[in-house]
Amino acid sequence: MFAIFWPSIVAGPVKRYQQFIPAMEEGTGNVDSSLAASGFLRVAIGAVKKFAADSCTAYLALAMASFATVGSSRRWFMLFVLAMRIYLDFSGYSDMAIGFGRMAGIRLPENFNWPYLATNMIDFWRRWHISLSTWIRDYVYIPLGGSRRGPVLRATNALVAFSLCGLWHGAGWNFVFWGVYHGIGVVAASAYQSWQGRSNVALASWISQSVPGWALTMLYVGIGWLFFFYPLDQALLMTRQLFLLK
Amino acid sequence: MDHWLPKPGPFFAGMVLSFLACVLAGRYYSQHNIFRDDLARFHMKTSSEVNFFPTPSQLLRFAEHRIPADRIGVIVGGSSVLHGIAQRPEYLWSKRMQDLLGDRFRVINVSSRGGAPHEYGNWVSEMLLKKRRRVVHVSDIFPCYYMSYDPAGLQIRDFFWAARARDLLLPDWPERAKRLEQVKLERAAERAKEPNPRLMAILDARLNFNDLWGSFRYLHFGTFYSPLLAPRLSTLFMPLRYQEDVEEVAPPIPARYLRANLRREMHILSELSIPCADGPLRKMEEDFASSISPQVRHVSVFLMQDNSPYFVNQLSPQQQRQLRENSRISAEALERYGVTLLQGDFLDETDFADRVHLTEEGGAKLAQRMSVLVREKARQAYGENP
Amino acid sequence: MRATLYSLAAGIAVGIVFHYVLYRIFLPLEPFIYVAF
Repeated sequence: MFAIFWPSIVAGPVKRYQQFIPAMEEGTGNVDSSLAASGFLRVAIGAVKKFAADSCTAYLALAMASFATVGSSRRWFMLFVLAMRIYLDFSGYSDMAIGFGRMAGIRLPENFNWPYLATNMIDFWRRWHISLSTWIRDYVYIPLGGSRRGPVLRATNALVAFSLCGLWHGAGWNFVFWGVYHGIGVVAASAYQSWQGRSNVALASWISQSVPGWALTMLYVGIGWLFFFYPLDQALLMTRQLFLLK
Repeated sequence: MDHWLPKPGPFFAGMVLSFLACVLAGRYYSQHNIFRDDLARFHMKTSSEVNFFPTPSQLLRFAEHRIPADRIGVIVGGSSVLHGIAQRPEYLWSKRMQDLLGDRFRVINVSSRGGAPHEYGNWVSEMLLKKRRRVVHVSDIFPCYYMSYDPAGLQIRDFFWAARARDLLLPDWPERAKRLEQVKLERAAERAKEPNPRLMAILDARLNFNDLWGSFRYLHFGTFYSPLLAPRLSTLFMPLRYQEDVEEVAPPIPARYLRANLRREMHILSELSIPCADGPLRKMEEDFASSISPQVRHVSVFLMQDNSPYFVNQLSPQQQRQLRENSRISAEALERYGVTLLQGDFLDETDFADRVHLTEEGGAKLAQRMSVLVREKARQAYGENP
Repeated sequence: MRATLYSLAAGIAVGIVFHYVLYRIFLPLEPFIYVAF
C-alpha cells in the first residue's frame, strides 16, 4: 500500500514514512471498529424488528381465524399487522445479516429502504427486497429485452420477471399470482408515468409522488400480502370481505 | 441511519456496561419474590401456555416468602388434577386444605397442566430441603405407568437444568445419576431440535436473563404477545401479574359427561385396565426412583389418580376389578419407597368434572383426606409439635 | 460531544437488547421465525 503512495512523498521519505504508516494503520483501525460497532447496532435493530414480527405473528395466528366475523375496522387492522409482520420479519433478518457482515468488516448491500414510504409501485420495488429485484432485473428482465422492444414486450417482460420473483418465494400458485399481481402494478405505474411525462399535467405528477400515490400504493401492496400468505380462493374472499361495510 | 457510524469507544463501553447492569438486575430479581400474594396457583396466564416459565430462583423465593422458616411447607406439585381444573381459585382444593391444616402449615400450589409427578413440586421440595426447611410434598401419580423417563421432566426440561446449574437441588443419588447419563446418550443420538437446556442453564446461571426478563414480563410489561392472552389492544402487553385466573366450573350432570368424547375415554380406560405386568411395574418403579429423591420420598403423599365412576361403571366387571387391582399393586410397590398413597375411591360421580379432574366438591373431599395424611406425614418426619 | 453521547446511548440500548435476545433465544418455544425467503 505504501509503495503506491511512495512517489508522492519521495521528497522527505523517512520521516513522512514513519508518520504515514502509523496514521494509515490508525485510520484503518478506527474505520474497522466503527464499522464493527455499527454492525452490533444493526444486529440489535434487526433483533428488535424480529421480536416485533413475532408478536405480530402470534397476534395474527389467533386473530385471522375470526377475519370473517369481526368488524370492518378490525379487518383493516389485521391487514396492517400482516403487512408489518412481513416487513419487520424480513428486514429484521436482513439487518442482522448486514450487521454480522459489518462486524466482520464487510459491507453488505442494503436490502430495504423504508418500502412503506413508497409513493408508487416502481418506487416500492426500489425499496423492497432490493437484492432480489435487482437480480431479477439484471438476469431476467434485461436479457429478455427489458424496455427496449416497445411497450407490449416491456409489459410482458415485466410480468415474466415478476412471476419468477413470486416463484422464488415458494413453489405455489399463490406466490406466482402475487408476483404477477405486483408485475401488473409496476406495469400500470410505468404506463402512468409515461402518460404523465407526455401530458405534463402537474396534478398527475403530484398524485404519483405524494400522499394519494402513497395511499394507493400501500393499499395495493397490502392486499397483495393476502395473496402471498393465503391460498388464492381464501385471499380473494378476504379481499372482498375487506371492502364490505359491516 | 446507514451512514452513521457510532464512535467505537463510547459505544462498546455503553454496551458492556448496560449488559452488566442487566446481569445484576437479573440477580436482584432472582433474590426476591415477584409473585402476587393472592396467587393461588400458576394458572394458564402465568404458565408455559403463555410462554411464561417460572425459574427455579423465582419459585424458591416464592416458597420462602409464603412459608416462614418456622412453618411446615406443603408443596403441591404434579398434574392438572392437583392444579384444580374446573375449580375456581377461591374454591381451589389446596386452599381448602390450607384452611383445614391451620397456621402451622403453609400450602403452595406449583402444579402444572400435564405435569409429571416430579415436576415443580418435587424440585421446590428439593430446594427447600437443601436449605433445611421442613416440607411435605404432595403430588399425583398414575397406576402402573410413570409419566416421565427423564428425571429432568416431561414438558420443559429447562427448569431442572437451571436449578442444577445454580446448585439449588439436592445432590444426585445413584438412580438419578445413572438415569441422567442414559438420557444424555440417547439425546445426543437424537439431536434434539430445541436449544440445549444445559447450555442455557449454564449461561443463565451467570447472566440471569431468565430471571430478569421473566420477572419484567410478570411485573412490568409483556414484551411479547402470546396467543392465549386476550387480543385486545389495551391488554396486549399487560404485565402477567394482572392477568386473571379464570377457570370454568363443570356444568351439572348429565351435561357434564355428555360433552365428553365417550369413545376416547373408554378406550383410555380399557388400556388402563390391562393387567399390570411385572415388567411395566418395575419400569414404573425405576422411573419413579430416578426422579424423586429418597429425602423427598420420605415426606411425600401421592394421590393415585382415579377415574370417574360414570365411565368406570361402563367397563366390564372384570375390567373394573383389574383397574382397582392395578391401583392397589402400584400403591404397594411405591409404598416400599417410603411414600404415602391416597387412593381416590372416596370420590363419586358428582366429584368429577370429567374422567379425571375434580369439581369443587370433589376438591373439598380431596382436601379433607389429604390434610389428614399431610398432618400424619409431618408428624412422622418432624415430630408431634415442631 | 453529541456524537459521543449518541454512541454511548446506542451502546447502552444494544447491551440491553443483547441480554434480552438471550432470553428469547432460549425460550422453549422458538420465537425466531426462520422462514426461508
